[in-house]
Amino acid sequence: MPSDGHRVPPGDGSRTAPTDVPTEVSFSSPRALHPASIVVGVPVGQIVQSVLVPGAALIAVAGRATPLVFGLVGIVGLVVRIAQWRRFRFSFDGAVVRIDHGVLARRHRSIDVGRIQQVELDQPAIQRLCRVASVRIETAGSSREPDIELRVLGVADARALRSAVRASPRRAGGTASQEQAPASALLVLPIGVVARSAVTGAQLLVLPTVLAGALQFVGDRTDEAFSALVRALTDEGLVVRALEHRVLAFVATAAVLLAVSVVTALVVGIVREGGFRIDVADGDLRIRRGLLGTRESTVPRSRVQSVHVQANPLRRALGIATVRVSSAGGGEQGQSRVTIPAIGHRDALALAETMLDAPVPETDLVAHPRAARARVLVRALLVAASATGLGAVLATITGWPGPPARVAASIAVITGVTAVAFAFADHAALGHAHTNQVVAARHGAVLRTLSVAPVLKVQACTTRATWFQQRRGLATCTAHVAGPGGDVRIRDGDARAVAAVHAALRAHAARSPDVTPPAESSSAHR
Amino acid sequence: MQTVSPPATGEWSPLDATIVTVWRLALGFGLGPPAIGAAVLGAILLSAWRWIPAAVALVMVPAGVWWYPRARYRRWRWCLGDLALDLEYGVLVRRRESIPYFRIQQIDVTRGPLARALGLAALDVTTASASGGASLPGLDAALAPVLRQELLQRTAARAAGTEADDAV
Repeated sequence: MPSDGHRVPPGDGSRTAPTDVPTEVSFSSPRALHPASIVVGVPVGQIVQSVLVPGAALIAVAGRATPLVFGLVGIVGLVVRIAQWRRFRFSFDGAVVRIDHGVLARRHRSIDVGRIQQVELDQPAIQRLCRVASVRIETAGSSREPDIELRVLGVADARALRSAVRASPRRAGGTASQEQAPASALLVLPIGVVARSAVTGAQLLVLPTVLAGALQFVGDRTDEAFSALVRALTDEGLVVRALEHRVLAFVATAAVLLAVSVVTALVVGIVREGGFRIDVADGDLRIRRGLLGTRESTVPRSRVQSVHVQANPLRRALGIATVRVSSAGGGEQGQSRVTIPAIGHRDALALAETMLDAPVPETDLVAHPRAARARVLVRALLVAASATGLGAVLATITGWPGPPARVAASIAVITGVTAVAFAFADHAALGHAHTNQVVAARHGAVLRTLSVAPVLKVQACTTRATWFQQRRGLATCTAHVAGPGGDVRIRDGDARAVAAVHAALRAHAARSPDVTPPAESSSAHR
Repeated sequence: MQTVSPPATGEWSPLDATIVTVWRLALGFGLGPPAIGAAVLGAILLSAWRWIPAAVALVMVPAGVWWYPRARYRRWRWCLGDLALDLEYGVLVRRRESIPYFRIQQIDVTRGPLARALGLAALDVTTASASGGASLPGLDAALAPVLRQELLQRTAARAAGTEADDAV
């Protein structure tokens, strides 16, 4: 198997992750959270929303009384947090996780352990300092919030609770056992791979986004400073020299911005993804990442709903891709926790096959008809025409940057060529496949995504065809899987082939005993 | 009280025709006031030829309110298949949805004020997918609970007939 040297071969016992040590900790009787929960248990985002923003307004209004008001608000907040901590109880009797909470209105929640999809042990930097951790337990659902979040427990208690849930005999998915098998490493990413992933992904946009936001925030001041700079340059006769060197200045500024963006992305990526590893223990996938703050997600392999292999143009050129694993638990935040940084493309496919326990038919995708390209082309040309018209109107009104006809022609050429290139790239990416084990679909002119789901995980299927698609003999079929964001969508496929896939998925989803894969389309394979 | 029974397996059924009235009223209340407001403002503020588009809209909206719900009703049909609940609908965008009985997690019967006045109900079928549920509107109020019971029975039968104890 091709490898970057970070994929651990099966049976390699030399690299094993520390396993949860079974403890004598009992959760059968109701317990309180760790006392540090009073302060550390408040999410940072909530602190920002409830303290910093009103605090800034308070400083502006209260004047000298600000410290007094702050003190009173702080005392009230502390009393509320203490009351919440005292009234929070959780327990786990081996079958059901229960929590009781609420100061004035009491709330009770029970989750059968058989319904648990994902367990996460989250430990941001401040919690690491305090030697506490948060435990998040998620079942199938579309909510963005976890079903149960214990913020915070002592690290030993958190690990013991996770072990107790994993060892429950009533638990579905992973293999329950009282004697926990040692975890074997499935994937360990060296820091170099994490760094390469950081500088080829969306993290490169972190700094420009922050700068853009900052400039927007201080827009008025920036305008004033820029005007003052122009005045100074003009008064001192420097503007001519500045214009002479503007190309050089632009290149230098871009180079500096790029360098700083790369460094920022590197730091953010390494801090967030450093130490990334996936271990397999008792049928569970245990994903750990983070240098300062750590996050450990536990997903039973049988609960993986779909896997998405994604690559932007830069990563495609380098032959690398990220793998996003969708489980039924967790919302959009939960999914981001099981995204594997960019690894070699073939390694990504192999990893997907390991997680799905089925071959991923990437090279056997059925090509989609040319009518699909026409559909994309029409939509892209409509956007190009709109941009051309808008440019012409603006040029007519403002007279900038030149005669309206010339401006419109320039925009039409640029956007038209881009639209054609986009349509060809988009059509080249389209493809789908269906076997007795998985359904797969690929799309994306820019961010190319191969989505694969086991057919037995398909919950329902929908086929839709717009008026344009009906005329061109096209249709789009969506295989819905449990949880948000994991669906597999076959876009603009041949209508008859899509109907055959729909019928087969319907039978698979219904667990019909006599299902057969659909006949292959006569289209060319790639 | 008249006994209502669900349709036979594999038999496609239309919605109750009264749903056309519900859709017409909903569409009329949704589009009517903005169209009338735009037309009145146009008559007051704009010159005659600029008012023509608003006048056209004033004519088109009632025509659309009359035509679209009827076309939508004609396109709607549903079927209790051997394995799944199948729905087909859509005027401009045609849709076909299949909800296997084995995957059904929850069934709700909902009735808005207008639907109650006209003796209608809707059946909302939910799966574990965030996007894979379905809604079956325009059922006779007496049929909805019967259909819910039938779906529950089929769901239980499919679950009992498979080795898997969990649809997720």
